Amino acid sequence: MGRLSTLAVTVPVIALAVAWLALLGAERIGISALWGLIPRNLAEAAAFRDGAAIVRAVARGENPDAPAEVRAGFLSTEPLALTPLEAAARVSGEEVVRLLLDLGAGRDAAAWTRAWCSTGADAVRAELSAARPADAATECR
Amino acid sequence: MTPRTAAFTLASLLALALASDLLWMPVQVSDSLDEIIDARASPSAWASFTESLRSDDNHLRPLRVAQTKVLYDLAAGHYWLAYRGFHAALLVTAVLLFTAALRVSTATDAAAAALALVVFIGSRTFRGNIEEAFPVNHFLEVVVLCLLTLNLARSSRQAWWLDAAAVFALAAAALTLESGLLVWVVASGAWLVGWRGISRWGLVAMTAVLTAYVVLRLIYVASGTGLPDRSTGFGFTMLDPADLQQRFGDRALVLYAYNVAASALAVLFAEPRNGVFIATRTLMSNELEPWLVIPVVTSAVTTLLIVCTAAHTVRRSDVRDDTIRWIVLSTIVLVANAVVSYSYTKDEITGVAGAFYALAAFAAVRVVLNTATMTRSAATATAVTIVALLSIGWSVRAAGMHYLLRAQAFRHQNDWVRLPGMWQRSGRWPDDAAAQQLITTLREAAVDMDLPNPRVGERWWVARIWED
Repeated sequence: MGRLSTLAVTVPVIALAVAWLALLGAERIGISALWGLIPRNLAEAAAFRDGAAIVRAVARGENPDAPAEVRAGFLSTEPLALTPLEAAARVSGEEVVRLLLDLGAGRDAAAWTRAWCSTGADAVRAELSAARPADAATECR
Repeated sequence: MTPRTAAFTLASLLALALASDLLWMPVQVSDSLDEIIDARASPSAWASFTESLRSDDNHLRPLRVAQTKVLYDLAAGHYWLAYRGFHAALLVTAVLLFTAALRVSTATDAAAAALALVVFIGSRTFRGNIEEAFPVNHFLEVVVLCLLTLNLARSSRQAWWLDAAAVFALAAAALTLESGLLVWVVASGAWLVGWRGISRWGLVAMTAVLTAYVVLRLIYVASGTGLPDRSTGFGFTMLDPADLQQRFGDRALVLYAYNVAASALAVLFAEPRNGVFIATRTLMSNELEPWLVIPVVTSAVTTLLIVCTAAHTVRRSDVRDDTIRWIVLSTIVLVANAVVSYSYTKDEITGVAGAFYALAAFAAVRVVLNTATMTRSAATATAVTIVALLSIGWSVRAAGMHYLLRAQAFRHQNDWVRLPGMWQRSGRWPDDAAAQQLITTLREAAVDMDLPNPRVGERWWVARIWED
């Protein structure tokens, strides 16, 4: 009884310590048991509201207005080709929209209009309005 | 492997996991960046110390800013490493001092120590030790200095250097945070229960330091008996300073009494949280989730176990171990820590009481396990089963610290991402090129960290059992 009770109390704590360190090791190489999605491009980083991934991608030279595929099951049941600004606008991420604008996105009128028309959120539209290119249309079809 | 080595090995693994989580986290922006910028501008740690005495009319915490300056100077440009490294080192020290205080000598001790470790790091009061840093976590420093003092008091022989170390611990803790005065409570409480590694003269010297501190407060700090100038929980809601003035303007003592009681209850029952009875409120609206139930149940059962053990030990005159000492000392510290929190309730302020609660849990669990080795009865089997379930429950709670720290790391990182634009728009961006360089260096270190994103793809069960 004594040995069994000692084991019964100790084993969960040992399991915790081992699992914790294993989890950390796995997360370090990009495998997470708690969270699953790693952005594959700038549009996905915007859709996932991952500011640091956006900054890193732009620093690597990715075009902040280039459309890219956002995988199925996140914004839609189908994969979508979106600009980063459009993806951020769709998730109502006004902070991400502001970040992308700061990083040079939305200077292309067509990219700006796509973002404008993909959202009705006032906060997002306010951010976009402040950086509207002169030739960008606000009429959405 | 001896039981003592086994306990330290397990403690080291848990400390390593926690420290790794902390080191995989940017320096935080709020309540931290301004402090680092001020440290850069200060000519020396002594200047920071004296300037704090001169300019802060509300607190006597000169070591707090002086430490930030010392670490800034030691960093030599590696700010993240200096501040996060120091936090991780403090954390490892706290876990090892906690384990050392237990004086593990048998397999039963080691098992009880394992459970006590997860009670220590799984409790809500421990969150405040790791969740934030300003840029140093001063709550954790106070916990470390209290545990150091406990270890000094538990020394089997007295020596002048033990007394000197205890005096130093009290002075350092008190000049860092008001709750640092708990170092004196720990030393006095330990002396009362018979742990007298710190001599009578050591205690006298500590009392002299305490008196000097009171005099310094009278000189440097404006007398404040009014209501807190910050939000605090009351009942089922948070009250901001205006609400507090309206409800307690002419009866501050009611609020103080509530805060003391709420702080003690939070340690014993994991409820209320920062003064707010969240679990009770959600229970009343039938929305109770496991992340609220698990802490309350594990804490309540652990408290019940400690109370039953105390009653059992007091009744039995043949018990000669230190069980009752642990429980009495943890009660003294709990009461003192709750009193220190009279002004407003914040879980991190009760970090010391949380640590001593875990020490009392060690004593109680050890009694159950020792009884199980000597007797076979239905009551013993039931007690062992409860303790085993507690071990699982507290381990689940402790695992939540990883979840909390990952979520916190992502938040800090995004704060850094937004910072330049936000400060430039609001006119806060510094004109000083050196301050700009400092911010840029810290931001680059934060942005370059590849962190898991807790905002997407979360497993369905994660947010149900843990809170961020």
